[in-house]
Amino acid sequence: MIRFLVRRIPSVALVLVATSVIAFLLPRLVPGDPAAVVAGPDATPETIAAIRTELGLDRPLVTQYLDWVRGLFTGDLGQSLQYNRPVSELIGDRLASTVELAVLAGIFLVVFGIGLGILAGSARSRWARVLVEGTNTGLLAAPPFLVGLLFILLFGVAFRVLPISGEISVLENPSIGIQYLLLPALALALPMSAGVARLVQTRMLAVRQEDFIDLAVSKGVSPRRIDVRHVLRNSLGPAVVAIGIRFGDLLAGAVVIEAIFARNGLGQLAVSGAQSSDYTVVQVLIVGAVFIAVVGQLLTEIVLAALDPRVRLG
Amino acid sequence: MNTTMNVSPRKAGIVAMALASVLVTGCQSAVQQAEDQAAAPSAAASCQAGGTLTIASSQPALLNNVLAQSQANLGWVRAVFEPLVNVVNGDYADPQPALATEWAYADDDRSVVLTLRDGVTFHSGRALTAADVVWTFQKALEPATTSDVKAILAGWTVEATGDMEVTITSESPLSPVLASTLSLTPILDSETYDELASGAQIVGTGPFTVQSYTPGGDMVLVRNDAYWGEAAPLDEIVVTLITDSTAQVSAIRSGRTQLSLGLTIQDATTVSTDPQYQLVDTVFGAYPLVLDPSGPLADVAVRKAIDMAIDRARINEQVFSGQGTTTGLYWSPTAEDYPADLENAVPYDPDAARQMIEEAGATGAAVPITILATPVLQAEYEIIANNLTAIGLVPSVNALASADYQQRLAAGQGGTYLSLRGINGGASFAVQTNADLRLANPHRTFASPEYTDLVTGVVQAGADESADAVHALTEYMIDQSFVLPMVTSTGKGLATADLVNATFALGGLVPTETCLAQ
Repeated sequence: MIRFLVRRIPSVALVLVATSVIAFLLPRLVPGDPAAVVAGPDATPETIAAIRTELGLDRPLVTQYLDWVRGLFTGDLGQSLQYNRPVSELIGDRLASTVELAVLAGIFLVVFGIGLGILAGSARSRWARVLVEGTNTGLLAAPPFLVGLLFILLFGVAFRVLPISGEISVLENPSIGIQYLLLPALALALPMSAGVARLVQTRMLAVRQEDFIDLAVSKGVSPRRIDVRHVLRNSLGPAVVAIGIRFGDLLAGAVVIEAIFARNGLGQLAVSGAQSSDYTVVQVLIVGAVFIAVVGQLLTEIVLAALDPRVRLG
Repeated sequence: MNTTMNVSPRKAGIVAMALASVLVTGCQSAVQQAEDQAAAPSAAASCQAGGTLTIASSQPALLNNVLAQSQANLGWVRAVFEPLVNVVNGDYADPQPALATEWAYADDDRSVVLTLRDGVTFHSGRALTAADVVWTFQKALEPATTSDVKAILAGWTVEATGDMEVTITSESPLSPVLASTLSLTPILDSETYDELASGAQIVGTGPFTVQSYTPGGDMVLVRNDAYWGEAAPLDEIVVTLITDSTAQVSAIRSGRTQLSLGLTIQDATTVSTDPQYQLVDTVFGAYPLVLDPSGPLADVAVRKAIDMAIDRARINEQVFSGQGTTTGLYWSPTAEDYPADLENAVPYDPDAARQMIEEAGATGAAVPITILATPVLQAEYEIIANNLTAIGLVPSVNALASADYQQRLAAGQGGTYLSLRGINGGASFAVQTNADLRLANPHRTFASPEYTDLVTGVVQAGADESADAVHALTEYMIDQSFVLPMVTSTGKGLATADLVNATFALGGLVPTETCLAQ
């Protein structure tokens, strides 16, 4: 595996360098001037120009890029144009919120995705299967924000059993923090888990038709062993790939979910940064998101190799 | 051959119930905790001592904008930073003393002597003196400082004529603009100003001090026990960032917040029909359509036709839930020189407007309109576009993000645009500071020698001449139809019914008497 990882270093580095250039240029290609936002609605051109100079935006683009990249290697992610604070500090203040949400949503995604898939792919009762497939179809059709709003109406307004606004860190107060996390994490994960469940179900039904299953049955292998060792294990490959891809979607979906559940995470920082043309914040978040996606992809390949002996890392 | 997996529903049910029990009953309830924190009986007149007021703000606090009025700072800035006087309820003629206790105008209205309040200290413990006032006004004038009143301050000389006395002299009459200008310029601490923009030190003289601040997140204020005035009833004010209007409604319904600032007027008015909630007035503003007098709009008849074609009442009902007014005037109706007889001078008459467009040969003319991409302005544009189409024009929209919109307008490249401005003073104050109206560096493109003369007349008019000068300017603006106020409206916040004395002055909430009911 180490060899596999070492071989991937050049391509990962290339992706990150290309991303840094795009992340740096993309916000600056959008028309508009962050100094105009800072200056306010009644500003004169003189005020805007003075603020541009103060923010260092009048320097050549190449100089700004090189300064930023140099800073990245020394742990200095830059200074927010809107808040006059280090970007690392802004991200640090929100990282725990987004990680807590993404981790719990990720767990729900795996549990509900694979769980529903197994139920749909194995239920004996026709009615049970119809019920599971109906649930699955409903979730497939519902985007996270809709599920979130339904949860707010149901569990926050009609039956007030869980908090629907704000957050308390799980590390600070686990029993309260987890209650603040439940609804947003479920709203984020459930719609995505439906797609994973459909993959698992389809694959399980296909694997059951394979000859090696018939062989195992004829050899007297117990049904549970056949289910777990033969059907399920051989059905998880596509789901693992989908979960790896969906992890990036979890971060993207967090933007909306954070907004409707009033959580102040990285998604909200990204939105606020984009709205105020806070280049330095946006470019770091883009590079960070790509880095996470690359790591997720590598992990997916490693898990696939562990599940299927035919897959070799290399 | 098919095989099936046995999943025990009973086991699954037991696990699910155990998990639910642990989360909902076994542990402390987050819902109960939020309700306990917000617990307060329904509307009552008397204040409870102490308590925490949690305010939802739709925008993060902008610390480099404390010298300007900003939606982002409405909930907290007057709790921390105080001006010399406060203007409440648009009463520009009778401002409330704050850091200044008295002010005496010279006979010619070109100078004023302000006496500062004794015993005022900054949160750092340093005593306020006249030098701090002079320093603040100089800082507001610097090019990189954001201030709403820079144009007025540029014509002032501010001197410390005693330890606790400041004298302001001006090239034009002071009384029409003094209250608004002072009210929008809170006094800053020169020793910590350099660390204000980053939030490392947020030091003012107000009734609350900043206990903690997370950039782009929450701000926690605690009562200032060394405050010069009577101690504020509240123990603490928490300003939390909730950008989404729906989420603000959820927060106030769940008991997390008691005051929402920046939610849509539709959400606010819908929820306020419930007696547990109330609307509170914040700051006054105007939503004008500013016409670019070029191309077909160079003809005043075409501009007049546009003025007559727009259904302002519909905009008010559909976009502002009927909370605004549609007088067609840009000025604050509480100003003494407000020309009330010119209200509704331009009738809504789409048939006549269509005929005027035909007579001007402008049928089919393109009218591109630049707007800031916000739901309110987009909804306003949709109605205007519908009205213009009905009279034979061809409107189109150029919806821009804030950074682009403000840059283009500041450069005078906005063309015809929909605007949103705070109305913070009388006509003299507006024509010097408001970018739609002022002579220097305006955002509008209309200009004429008559307009320059009339604006100069308003700025130079003394108290006796002010009403006539404003009347003449307003008549000219109506005749020329280059700035068309669609709706003027006081901003609305949504509060729980138990929030008492939530008073907004220019700049924001002044929480010296704000409290939660017993």
